[in-house]
Amino acid sequence: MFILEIVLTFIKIGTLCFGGGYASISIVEREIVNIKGWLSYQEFFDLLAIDEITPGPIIINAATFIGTKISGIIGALSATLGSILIPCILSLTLVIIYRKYKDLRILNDILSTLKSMSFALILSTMFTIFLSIIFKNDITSFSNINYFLFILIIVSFVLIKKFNLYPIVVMLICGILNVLINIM
Amino acid sequence: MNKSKKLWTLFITTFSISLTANSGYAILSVMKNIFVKKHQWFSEEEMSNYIALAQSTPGPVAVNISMIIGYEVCGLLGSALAVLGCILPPLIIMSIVSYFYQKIVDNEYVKLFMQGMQAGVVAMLLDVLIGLFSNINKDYKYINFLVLIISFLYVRFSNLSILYLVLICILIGIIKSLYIKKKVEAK
Repeated sequence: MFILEIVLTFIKIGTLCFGGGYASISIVEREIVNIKGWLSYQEFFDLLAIDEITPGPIIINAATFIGTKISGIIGALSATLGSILIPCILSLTLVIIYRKYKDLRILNDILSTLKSMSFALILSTMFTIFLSIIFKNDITSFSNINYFLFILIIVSFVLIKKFNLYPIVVMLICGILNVLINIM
Repeated sequence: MNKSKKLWTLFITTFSISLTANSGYAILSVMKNIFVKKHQWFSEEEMSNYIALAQSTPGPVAVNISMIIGYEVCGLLGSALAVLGCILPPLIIMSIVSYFYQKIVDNEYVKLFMQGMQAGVVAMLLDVLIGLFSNINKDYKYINFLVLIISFLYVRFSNLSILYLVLICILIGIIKSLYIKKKVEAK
Protein backbone atom coordinates (compact mmCIF):
# COMPACT_ATOMS: atom_id res chain seq x y z
CA MET A 1 0.00 0.00 0.00
CA PHE A 2 1.44 3.27 -1.05
CA ILE A 3 -0.07 5.14 1.88
CA LEU A 4 1.90 2.89 4.20
CA GLU A 5 5.09 3.85 2.41
CA ILE A 6 4.24 7.53 2.82
CA VAL A 7 3.57 7.07 6.53
CA LEU A 8 6.78 5.09 7.12
CA THR A 9 8.90 7.56 5.18
CA PHE A 10 7.53 10.48 7.13
CA ILE A 11 7.89 8.68 10.44
CA LYS A 12 11.56 8.32 9.52
CA ILE A 13 11.83 11.98 8.55
CA GLY A 14 10.09 13.14 11.71
CA THR A 15 12.47 11.10 13.81
CA LEU A 16 15.52 12.74 12.24
CA CYS A 17 14.39 16.35 12.46
CA PHE A 18 16.75 17.73 15.04
CA GLY A 19 17.87 21.31 15.11
CA GLY A 20 14.87 23.31 14.03
CA GLY A 21 12.94 23.97 10.88
CA TYR A 22 15.62 24.64 8.36
CA ALA A 23 17.62 21.57 9.36
CA SER A 24 14.42 19.59 8.93
CA ILE A 25 14.19 20.76 5.37
CA SER A 26 17.62 19.28 4.70
CA ILE A 27 16.28 15.95 5.91
CA VAL A 28 13.37 16.29 3.51
CA GLU A 29 15.81 17.10 0.72
CA ARG A 30 17.80 13.94 1.36
CA GLU A 31 14.90 11.55 1.96
CA ILE A 32 12.26 12.83 -0.43
CA VAL A 33 14.22 14.36 -3.31
CA ASN A 34 17.42 12.27 -3.37
CA ILE A 35 16.33 8.90 -2.04
CA LYS A 36 12.65 8.54 -2.87
CA GLY A 37 12.44 10.92 -5.81
CA TRP A 38 8.94 12.04 -4.86
CA LEU A 39 9.82 15.66 -5.59
CA SER A 40 12.08 17.17 -8.20
CA TYR A 41 14.64 19.70 -7.01
CA GLN A 42 12.56 22.43 -8.63
CA GLU A 43 9.49 21.42 -6.66
CA PHE A 44 11.58 21.21 -3.51
CA PHE A 45 12.86 24.77 -3.93
CA ASP A 46 9.30 25.93 -4.64
CA LEU A 47 8.21 24.22 -1.42
CA LEU A 48 10.82 26.16 0.52
CA ALA A 49 9.57 29.42 -0.89
CA ILE A 50 5.88 28.60 -0.35
CA ASP A 51 6.59 27.44 3.17
CA GLU A 52 7.76 30.91 4.09
CA ILE A 53 4.35 32.29 3.21
CA THR A 54 2.21 29.66 4.86
CA PRO A 55 1.95 29.37 8.66
CA GLY A 56 3.03 26.40 10.72
CA PRO A 57 6.20 24.36 11.18
CA ILE A 58 8.19 23.67 8.04
CA ILE A 59 7.98 19.93 8.38
CA ILE A 60 4.18 19.96 8.60
CA ASN A 61 4.00 22.18 5.54
CA ALA A 62 6.40 19.88 3.72
CA ALA A 63 4.45 16.78 4.71
CA THR A 64 1.18 18.34 3.57
CA PHE A 65 2.66 19.57 0.31
CA ILE A 66 4.32 16.28 -0.58
CA GLY A 67 1.44 14.16 0.69
CA THR A 68 -1.05 16.21 -1.34
CA LYS A 69 1.08 15.88 -4.45
CA ILE A 70 1.36 12.10 -4.33
CA SER A 71 -1.95 11.08 -2.78
CA GLY A 72 -4.30 13.98 -2.22
CA ILE A 73 -5.91 14.60 1.14
CA ILE A 74 -5.24 11.12 2.47
CA GLY A 75 -1.57 11.54 1.51
CA ALA A 76 -1.39 14.87 3.31
CA LEU A 77 -2.95 13.45 6.47
CA SER A 78 -0.79 10.33 6.47
CA ALA A 79 2.41 12.26 5.89
CA THR A 80 1.61 14.86 8.56
CA LEU A 81 0.56 12.37 11.21
CA GLY A 82 3.52 10.15 10.37
CA SER A 83 5.93 13.03 10.73
CA ILE A 84 4.77 13.91 14.24
CA LEU A 85 4.37 10.39 15.61
CA ILE A 86 7.86 9.88 16.99
CA PRO A 87 8.27 13.51 18.15
CA CYS A 88 5.04 13.19 20.14
CA ILE A 89 6.01 9.85 21.67
CA LEU A 90 9.49 11.07 22.57
CA SER A 91 8.19 14.36 24.02
CA LEU A 92 5.74 12.43 26.16
CA THR A 93 8.50 10.07 27.29
CA LEU A 94 10.79 12.95 28.18
CA VAL A 95 8.11 14.76 30.16
CA ILE A 96 7.37 11.61 32.17
CA ILE A 97 11.07 10.97 32.79
CA TYR A 98 11.55 14.60 33.71
CA ARG A 99 8.80 14.37 36.29
CA LYS A 100 10.62 11.48 37.93
CA TYR A 101 14.27 12.48 37.64
CA LYS A 102 14.47 16.22 36.89
CA ASP A 103 17.95 15.96 35.36
CA LEU A 104 18.46 17.75 32.07
CA ARG A 105 22.22 17.94 31.80
CA ILE A 106 22.88 15.03 29.48
CA LEU A 107 20.19 16.35 27.15
CA ASN A 108 21.99 19.67 26.90
CA ASP A 109 25.22 18.01 25.84
CA ILE A 110 23.56 15.89 23.20
CA LEU A 111 21.62 18.91 22.05
CA SER A 112 24.68 21.09 21.57
CA THR A 113 26.27 18.43 19.38
CA LEU A 114 23.12 18.21 17.31
CA LYS A 115 23.09 21.98 16.96
CA SER A 116 26.45 21.81 15.21
CA MET A 117 25.11 19.11 12.94
CA SER A 118 22.06 21.23 12.14
CA PHE A 119 24.23 24.16 11.18
CA ALA A 120 26.02 21.99 8.65
CA LEU A 121 22.74 20.67 7.25
CA ILE A 122 21.29 24.14 6.75
CA LEU A 123 24.57 25.32 5.21
CA SER A 124 24.44 22.47 2.74
CA THR A 125 20.85 23.14 1.70
CA MET A 126 21.64 26.82 1.27
CA PHE A 127 24.50 25.91 -1.05
CA THR A 128 22.29 23.61 -3.06
CA ILE A 129 19.71 26.32 -3.70
CA PHE A 130 22.44 28.87 -4.38
CA LEU A 131 24.20 26.71 -6.97
CA SER A 132 20.93 25.80 -8.60
CA ILE A 133 19.70 29.34 -9.18
CA ILE A 134 23.03 31.00 -9.92
CA PHE A 135 24.18 28.73 -12.70
CA LYS A 136 21.89 28.74 -15.71
CA ASN A 137 20.97 25.40 -17.16
CA ASP A 138 22.87 23.57 -14.45
CA ILE A 139 26.18 24.16 -16.19
CA THR A 140 28.75 25.20 -13.63
CA SER A 141 31.05 27.63 -15.35
CA PHE A 142 31.84 31.31 -15.09
CA SER A 143 30.31 32.15 -18.42
CA ASN A 144 26.99 30.88 -17.26
CA ILE A 145 26.27 32.88 -14.14
CA ASN A 146 22.90 34.49 -13.55
CA TYR A 147 24.27 37.82 -12.30
CA PHE A 148 20.85 39.29 -11.65
CA LEU A 149 19.94 36.61 -9.15
CA PHE A 150 23.36 36.87 -7.57
CA ILE A 151 22.84 40.57 -6.99
CA LEU A 152 19.30 39.89 -5.75
CA ILE A 153 20.71 37.55 -3.13
CA ILE A 154 23.17 40.13 -1.88
CA VAL A 155 20.59 42.91 -1.84
CA SER A 156 18.09 40.64 -0.07
CA PHE A 157 20.65 39.74 2.54
CA VAL A 158 21.37 43.40 3.25
CA LEU A 159 17.65 44.15 3.44
CA ILE A 160 17.06 41.31 5.89
CA LYS A 161 20.13 41.76 8.03
CA LYS A 162 20.74 45.50 8.06
CA PHE A 163 17.27 46.87 7.48
CA ASN A 164 15.40 44.11 9.29
CA LEU A 165 12.75 43.68 6.65
CA TYR A 166 10.59 40.59 6.97
CA PRO A 167 12.10 37.81 4.87
CA ILE A 168 8.72 37.09 3.35
CA VAL A 169 8.42 40.65 2.06
CA VAL A 170 11.92 40.52 0.59
CA MET A 171 11.16 37.20 -1.07
CA LEU A 172 7.97 38.46 -2.67
CA ILE A 173 9.81 41.52 -4.00
CA CYS A 174 12.54 39.30 -5.44
CA GLY A 175 9.94 37.13 -7.11
CA ILE A 176 8.30 40.12 -8.75
CA LEU A 177 11.63 41.63 -9.80
CA ASN A 178 12.73 38.39 -11.40
CA VAL A 179 9.55 38.23 -13.44
CA LEU A 180 9.94 41.86 -14.51
CA ILE A 181 13.58 41.56 -15.53
CA ASN A 182 12.73 38.62 -17.73
CA ILE A 183 9.84 40.35 -19.41
CA MET A 184 11.92 43.31 -20.48
CA MET B 1 -10.67 26.80 35.44
CA ASN B 2 -12.42 23.51 34.95
CA LYS B 3 -11.16 20.76 32.70
CA SER B 4 -13.18 21.41 29.56
CA LYS B 5 -12.37 25.09 29.67
CA LYS B 6 -8.68 24.24 29.99
CA LEU B 7 -8.88 21.85 27.05
CA TRP B 8 -10.61 24.42 24.91
CA THR B 9 -8.07 27.09 25.91
CA LEU B 10 -5.21 24.73 25.03
CA PHE B 11 -6.65 24.03 21.61
CA ILE B 12 -7.52 27.60 20.74
CA THR B 13 -4.16 28.90 21.98
CA THR B 14 -2.03 26.47 20.00
CA PHE B 15 -4.29 27.01 16.99
CA SER B 16 -3.89 30.77 17.01
CA ILE B 17 -0.16 30.60 17.72
CA SER B 18 0.31 28.21 14.84
CA LEU B 19 -1.60 30.60 12.61
CA THR B 20 0.38 33.69 13.53
CA ALA B 21 3.81 32.98 14.98
CA ASN B 22 6.62 32.48 12.54
CA SER B 23 9.76 31.15 14.13
CA GLY B 24 10.27 28.71 16.96
CA TYR B 25 11.40 31.51 19.22
CA ALA B 26 8.30 33.57 18.53
CA ILE B 27 6.12 30.59 19.39
CA LEU B 28 7.95 29.95 22.63
CA SER B 29 7.79 33.56 23.78
CA VAL B 30 4.08 33.82 23.00
CA MET B 31 3.46 30.60 24.91
CA LYS B 32 5.40 31.96 27.86
CA ASN B 33 3.20 35.04 27.86
CA ILE B 34 -0.03 33.11 27.68
CA PHE B 35 0.63 30.11 29.89
CA VAL B 36 2.90 31.67 32.49
CA LYS B 37 1.80 35.29 32.70
CA LYS B 38 -1.81 35.20 31.63
CA HIS B 39 -3.21 31.87 32.83
CA GLN B 40 -0.48 31.17 35.36
CA TRP B 41 -0.58 27.45 34.74
CA PHE B 42 3.20 27.15 35.19
CA SER B 43 6.08 29.04 36.70
CA GLU B 44 8.78 30.62 34.51
CA GLU B 45 11.22 27.94 35.58
CA GLU B 46 8.87 25.08 34.73
CA MET B 47 8.23 26.67 31.35
CA SER B 48 11.95 27.01 30.66
CA ASN B 49 12.41 23.36 31.45
CA TYR B 50 9.56 22.34 29.18
CA ILE B 51 11.12 24.43 26.41
CA ALA B 52 14.45 22.65 26.92
CA LEU B 53 12.67 19.30 26.69
CA ALA B 54 10.83 20.40 23.57
CA GLN B 55 14.11 21.29 21.93
CA SER B 56 15.73 18.00 22.88
CA THR B 57 13.48 15.73 20.92
CA PRO B 58 13.26 15.60 17.16
CA GLY B 59 10.38 17.22 15.38
CA PRO B 60 9.07 20.77 15.21
CA VAL B 61 9.47 22.56 18.51
CA ALA B 62 5.89 23.82 18.18
CA VAL B 63 4.55 20.27 18.13
CA ASN B 64 6.79 19.12 20.96
CA ILE B 65 5.96 22.01 23.24
CA SER B 66 2.26 21.55 22.53
CA MET B 67 2.57 17.89 23.46
CA ILE B 68 4.43 18.64 26.69
CA ILE B 69 2.29 21.52 27.89
CA GLY B 70 -0.89 19.71 26.91
CA TYR B 71 0.16 16.71 28.97
CA GLU B 72 1.10 18.75 32.02
CA VAL B 73 -2.20 20.61 31.95
CA CYS B 74 -4.66 17.89 31.02
CA GLY B 75 -2.96 14.57 30.43
CA LEU B 76 -3.10 12.73 27.13
CA LEU B 77 -6.28 14.42 26.01
CA GLY B 78 -4.62 17.77 26.60
CA SER B 79 -1.64 16.69 24.49
CA ALA B 80 -3.87 15.52 21.70
CA LEU B 81 -5.88 18.74 21.55
CA ALA B 82 -2.81 20.96 21.81
CA VAL B 83 -1.06 19.11 18.98
CA LEU B 84 -4.23 19.18 16.91
CA GLY B 85 -4.42 22.95 17.34
CA CYS B 86 -0.82 23.15 16.25
CA ILE B 87 -1.10 21.13 13.04
CA LEU B 88 -4.54 22.16 11.77
CA PRO B 89 -3.58 25.59 10.34
CA PRO B 90 -0.68 24.33 8.19
CA LEU B 91 -2.60 21.21 7.20
CA ILE B 92 -5.57 23.17 5.92
CA ILE B 93 -3.77 26.12 4.38
CA MET B 94 -0.97 24.15 2.78
CA SER B 95 -3.46 21.67 1.29
CA ILE B 96 -5.24 24.53 -0.44
CA VAL B 97 -1.98 26.11 -1.59
CA SER B 98 -0.63 22.77 -2.84
CA TYR B 99 -3.78 22.19 -4.82
CA PHE B 100 -3.41 25.50 -6.61
CA TYR B 101 0.33 25.09 -6.98
CA GLN B 102 -0.15 21.93 -9.00
CA LYS B 103 -2.38 23.89 -11.33
CA ILE B 104 -0.21 26.96 -11.88
CA VAL B 105 3.31 25.55 -11.61
CA ASP B 106 3.79 25.19 -15.34
CA ASN B 107 3.20 28.84 -16.00
CA GLU B 108 6.39 30.61 -17.13
CA TYR B 109 5.77 33.67 -15.02
CA VAL B 110 5.09 31.58 -11.94
CA LYS B 111 8.38 29.80 -12.54
CA LEU B 112 10.25 33.07 -12.76
CA PHE B 113 8.50 34.37 -9.66
CA MET B 114 9.45 31.27 -7.70
CA GLN B 115 13.02 31.51 -8.92
CA GLY B 116 13.19 35.10 -7.69
CA MET B 117 11.76 34.05 -4.32
CA GLN B 118 14.49 31.45 -4.03
CA ALA B 119 17.09 34.21 -4.14
CA GLY B 120 15.32 35.62 -1.11
CA VAL B 121 15.37 32.18 0.52
CA VAL B 122 19.16 31.97 0.12
CA ALA B 123 19.56 35.38 1.75
CA MET B 124 17.24 34.38 4.57
CA LEU B 125 19.08 31.10 5.20
CA LEU B 126 22.35 33.02 5.34
CA ASP B 127 20.85 35.28 7.99
CA VAL B 128 19.60 32.24 9.94
CA LEU B 129 23.04 30.63 9.74
CA ILE B 130 24.76 33.72 11.10
CA GLY B 131 22.35 33.71 14.04
CA LEU B 132 22.93 30.02 14.68
CA PHE B 133 26.68 30.37 14.48
CA SER B 134 26.82 32.52 17.57
CA ASN B 135 24.75 29.88 19.35
CA ILE B 136 27.19 27.05 18.84
CA ASN B 137 28.39 26.17 22.29
CA LYS B 138 31.73 27.86 22.80
CA ASP B 139 32.68 25.56 25.65
CA TYR B 140 33.48 22.57 23.53
CA LYS B 141 34.46 24.52 20.45
CA TYR B 142 36.76 21.94 18.91
CA ILE B 143 34.37 19.03 19.16
CA ASN B 144 31.49 21.15 17.92
CA PHE B 145 33.46 22.41 14.93
CA LEU B 146 34.63 18.92 14.16
CA VAL B 147 31.03 17.72 14.23
CA LEU B 148 30.12 20.62 11.97
CA ILE B 149 32.76 19.75 9.38
CA ILE B 150 32.02 16.03 9.47
CA SER B 151 28.29 16.72 9.11
CA PHE B 152 28.83 19.05 6.20
CA LEU B 153 31.06 16.56 4.37
CA TYR B 154 28.62 13.77 5.11
CA VAL B 155 25.65 15.64 3.73
CA ARG B 156 27.53 16.95 0.71
CA PHE B 157 29.34 13.81 -0.38
CA SER B 158 27.39 10.81 0.80
CA ASN B 159 24.00 9.65 -0.35
CA LEU B 160 23.10 7.89 2.83
CA SER B 161 20.23 8.80 5.07
CA ILE B 162 20.79 11.42 7.74
CA LEU B 163 19.79 8.78 10.28
CA TYR B 164 23.37 7.52 10.60
CA LEU B 165 24.72 11.03 11.01
CA VAL B 166 22.19 11.76 13.78
CA LEU B 167 23.12 8.52 15.56
CA ILE B 168 26.82 9.38 15.35
CA CYS B 169 26.18 12.89 16.70
CA ILE B 170 24.06 11.57 19.57
CA LEU B 171 26.85 9.13 20.38
CA ILE B 172 29.40 11.95 20.36
CA GLY B 173 27.04 13.96 22.56
CA ILE B 174 26.77 11.16 25.10
CA ILE B 175 30.55 10.64 25.15
CA LYS B 176 30.99 14.39 25.58
CA SER B 177 28.52 14.36 28.46
CA LEU B 178 30.27 11.50 30.24
CA TYR B 179 33.62 13.19 29.71
CA ILE B 180 32.31 16.44 31.23
CA LYS B 181 30.86 14.48 34.15
CA LYS B 182 34.23 12.82 34.80
CA LYS B 183 36.02 16.14 34.67
CA VAL B 184 33.61 17.68 37.15
CA GLU B 185 33.86 14.71 39.50
CA ALA B 186 37.65 14.79 39.33
CA LYS B 187 37.70 18.34 40.72
